[in-house]
Amino acid sequence: MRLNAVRLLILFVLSLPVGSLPVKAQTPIPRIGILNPQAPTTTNTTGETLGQATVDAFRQGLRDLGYVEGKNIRIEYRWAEGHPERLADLAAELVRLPVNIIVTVSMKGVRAARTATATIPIVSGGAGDLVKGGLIDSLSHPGGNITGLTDINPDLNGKQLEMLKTVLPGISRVAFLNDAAADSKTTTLHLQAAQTAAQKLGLQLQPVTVKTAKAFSEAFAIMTQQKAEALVVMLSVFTMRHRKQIVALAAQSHIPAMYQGREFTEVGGLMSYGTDRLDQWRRAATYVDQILKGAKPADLPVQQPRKLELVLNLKAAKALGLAFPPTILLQADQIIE
Amino acid sequence: MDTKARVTRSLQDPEETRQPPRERGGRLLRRTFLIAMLVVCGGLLTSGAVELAFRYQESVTEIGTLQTEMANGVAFKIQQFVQDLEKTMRASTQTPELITAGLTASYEFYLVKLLGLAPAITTITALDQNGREHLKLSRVQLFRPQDLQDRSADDVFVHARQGVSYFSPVYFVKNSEPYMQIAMPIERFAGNIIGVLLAEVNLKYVWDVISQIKVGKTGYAYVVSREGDLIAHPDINLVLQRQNLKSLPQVQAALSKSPTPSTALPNLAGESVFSSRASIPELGWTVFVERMADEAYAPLYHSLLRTAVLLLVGLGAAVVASFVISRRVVRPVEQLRQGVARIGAGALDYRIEVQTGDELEALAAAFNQMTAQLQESYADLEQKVDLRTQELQSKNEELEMALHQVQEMQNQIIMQEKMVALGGLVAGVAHEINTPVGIGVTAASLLGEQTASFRNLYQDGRMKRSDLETYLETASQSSTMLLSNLNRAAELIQSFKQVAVDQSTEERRCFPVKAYLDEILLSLRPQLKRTSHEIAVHVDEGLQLDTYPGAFAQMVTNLVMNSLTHAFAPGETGQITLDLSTTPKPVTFTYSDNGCGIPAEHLEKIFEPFFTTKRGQGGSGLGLHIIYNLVTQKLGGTMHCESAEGEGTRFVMTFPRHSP
Repeated sequence: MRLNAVRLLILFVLSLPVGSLPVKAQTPIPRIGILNPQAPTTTNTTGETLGQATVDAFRQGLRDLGYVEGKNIRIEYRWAEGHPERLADLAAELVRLPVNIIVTVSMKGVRAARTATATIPIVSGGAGDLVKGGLIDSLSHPGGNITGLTDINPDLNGKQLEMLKTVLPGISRVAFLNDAAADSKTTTLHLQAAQTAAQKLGLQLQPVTVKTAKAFSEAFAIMTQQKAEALVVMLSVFTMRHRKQIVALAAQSHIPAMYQGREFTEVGGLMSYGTDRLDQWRRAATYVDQILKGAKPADLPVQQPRKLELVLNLKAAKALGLAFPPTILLQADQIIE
Repeated sequence: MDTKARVTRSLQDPEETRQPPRERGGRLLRRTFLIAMLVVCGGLLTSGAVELAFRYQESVTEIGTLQTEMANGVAFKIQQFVQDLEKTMRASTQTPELITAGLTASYEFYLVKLLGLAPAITTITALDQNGREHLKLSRVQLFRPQDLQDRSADDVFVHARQGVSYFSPVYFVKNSEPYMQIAMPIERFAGNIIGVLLAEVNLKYVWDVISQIKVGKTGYAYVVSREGDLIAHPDINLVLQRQNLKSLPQVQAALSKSPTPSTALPNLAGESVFSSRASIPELGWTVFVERMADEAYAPLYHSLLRTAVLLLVGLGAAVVASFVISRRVVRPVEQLRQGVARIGAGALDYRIEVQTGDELEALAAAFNQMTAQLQESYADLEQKVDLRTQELQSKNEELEMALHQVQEMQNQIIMQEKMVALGGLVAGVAHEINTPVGIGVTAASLLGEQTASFRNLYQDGRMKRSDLETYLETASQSSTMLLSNLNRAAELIQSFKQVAVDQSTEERRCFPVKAYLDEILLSLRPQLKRTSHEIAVHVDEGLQLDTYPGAFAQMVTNLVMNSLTHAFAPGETGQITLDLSTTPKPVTFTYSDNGCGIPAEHLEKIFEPFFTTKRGQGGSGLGLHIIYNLVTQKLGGTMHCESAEGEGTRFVMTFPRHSP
């Protein structure tokens, strides 16, 4: 009887599925395609780069979620280098690779990605009004393959003008700088919002459109000509790319400017009120993570910016001979010396 | 010798006679064991089950209590968050300028400050005492004086105007983010309300609180509004997706104010969770704390497992103990039984050994005593048996002698009978032959006389024609008579010869039956010609017999002659059938006629020698006897007759194809 028990035991041990010990299945490493309208580093003498910073923020976000580039995730970078017409081809390239997810910013970026694919998930790291832009059904249920974060930039035009007026109570003419390369729908929304707000505030809005980088000085010349007392610069890939130039020209022309992103203020702009782009890029990583884990972009709600920041540059103010009123100082999230 | 030996052997042979009792011994052990086990195990199981049931109940209650405490904790935190907001807002309603100057444009400063202090507030409005928006400040939207509205009809104003803080129901902006409005009176001094401070609070900030909550390993907390809308959840997507949880049983219970079921419930993802809740009455919100059912019940399962294992161990021990005890009781009984069986089987010198010091030992001793006595009586018996056997043997011998004698006598009687039969036969034959011989002698003597007298006449010369004619007549008659009677005598002698001894002179050979039968019938034609009887022959064409053709011929001849003689009246037309076939037995020879049949009283005698019903008319009584002997002895077969008066006669003879 003992012999039989031993035999049974041996049989049992042998029958254990040794080969089926949990071995991680060899699934391919997911590939993320970043479609960045900017350039990573600039060769532009007056421009400043942002591309790399935002991408780095995104990668940090991925790292925080446990992704290691090369080990469990791969990233493909496509830079449009400020040329929006290249976005379509770059998007198509990414689709051909193929990539599991496309991450992009700006309305044009999102649109280009959407044209290239209706199935590969697209994560927006910050684009204008996706609903009004016709890219998603609603914030809570985007439907389709686009999700991510939205800016509320067009809405902020009112506040931006208001703040500008608070700093310069006596002004009546405000220029509005926008570029022709930006998404036309977005530009229209911005202009509309700015116009409405200007009217409310009793200001005259003077839109100035810039087509090429070379045209900036011309634009400022026009502004000076039109006796603009202040300026609001619309945030776009183009303006972002050439922010240093714009800031310099504004300073030269002695025109106090309200910008829509801290990136301008950081290079010398007077003030900015807008979303934290780096934070948006970081949060885009959470969308990538969820989609890789099986969530469908149609069901992932689009998030609005977490925080709006008012950044003031004291140096620029001093240069313009301005002093920020207490109300503004009170509201400021950051004051650059 | 044999009987005694047989008796002894069977007594000493256990295997032959004692199979069943071995099983019965095992049954006692099993039964005792089972009863003991049932009693002990039954007790253990019952107590175990009761214990488990109670422990389960208690554990579940405990888990529920614990988790409810956690839910209370979370609810407290959220309450605090809202209360902090409220406090901050309240602080803004107590500015020196308000007390002195009332609600003026300069209050905007404090609104700006408030926005800075409370990031959760998106829009802050100061309403005047009539409900008109006096100042409105938003992080996102631009509000100019022309945008200010009359809010006097709004709930928020109405309630706050009465002097208490008001928390509005949760609503969703842009169908995405959850918002709530907090309104509180702006009191210049106690009782003097000069306006209402209204804040639109973005409840996304509650998410910060909720996402910090860690409950065990898999636990989480979430908040649901009065309408069942999800306000805050660790997965913010669920909130932004505008999920309504009214369908979940735990939410239903909360909304209907009934206790949360303490069983595993489904959550939004369909997982099985243990749910507890706490409510925030002022807001009408319910906080849920849930853990995966597996984790929540884990301690319960562990405890149950422990109890179960202990129970099993106890059962195991009980089983073993019952077994051991039973064996201790049953083994001596088994020994007894086996001992008795052996004794019963004949081993009378076997003594049972049981030393348990109790009644069983006494029983064994008693058995042994009985065995000893049995042994004695058995020895006695053996002696008696020997004696009897001897007596029987001598008796046997006597009987054998007697039997022998009887057999001898029997043989003698047979011999005598044979003698008698033979004598009878001889007498019969003599009698039979005597008749024709006598007649012949008479006829011959007559002829002699007549011849002598005729000669005299002739010699005397007195012979007349009429005398010649008379003499010729006489001579003719006499010769006829002589001839026929001599023939008759010859026939009889022939028959007799056949009945008597020598039958082995005849040769045996193989012959085709049909052809031979035809020959036989042909030879009988003289006799048959005189009648109009029909003879039908049914024989298989190819049938051959390896037998004595003479005997066969004799058979057929005698049967036919019998039918002609006995069965039919003169002038009658009858049918005779001869049927030879190999079924049912090879060979079956059926001879039948449709004559007058044989009456029952004669039927048993027909095969006896010299039995005939037509003694005076030519029947010798030997025909059937001859046939019978032929069939049974020479052909090695059987013969029987079926007949009844008026119903014809049938003879069935069976014999092998090859005669012995």
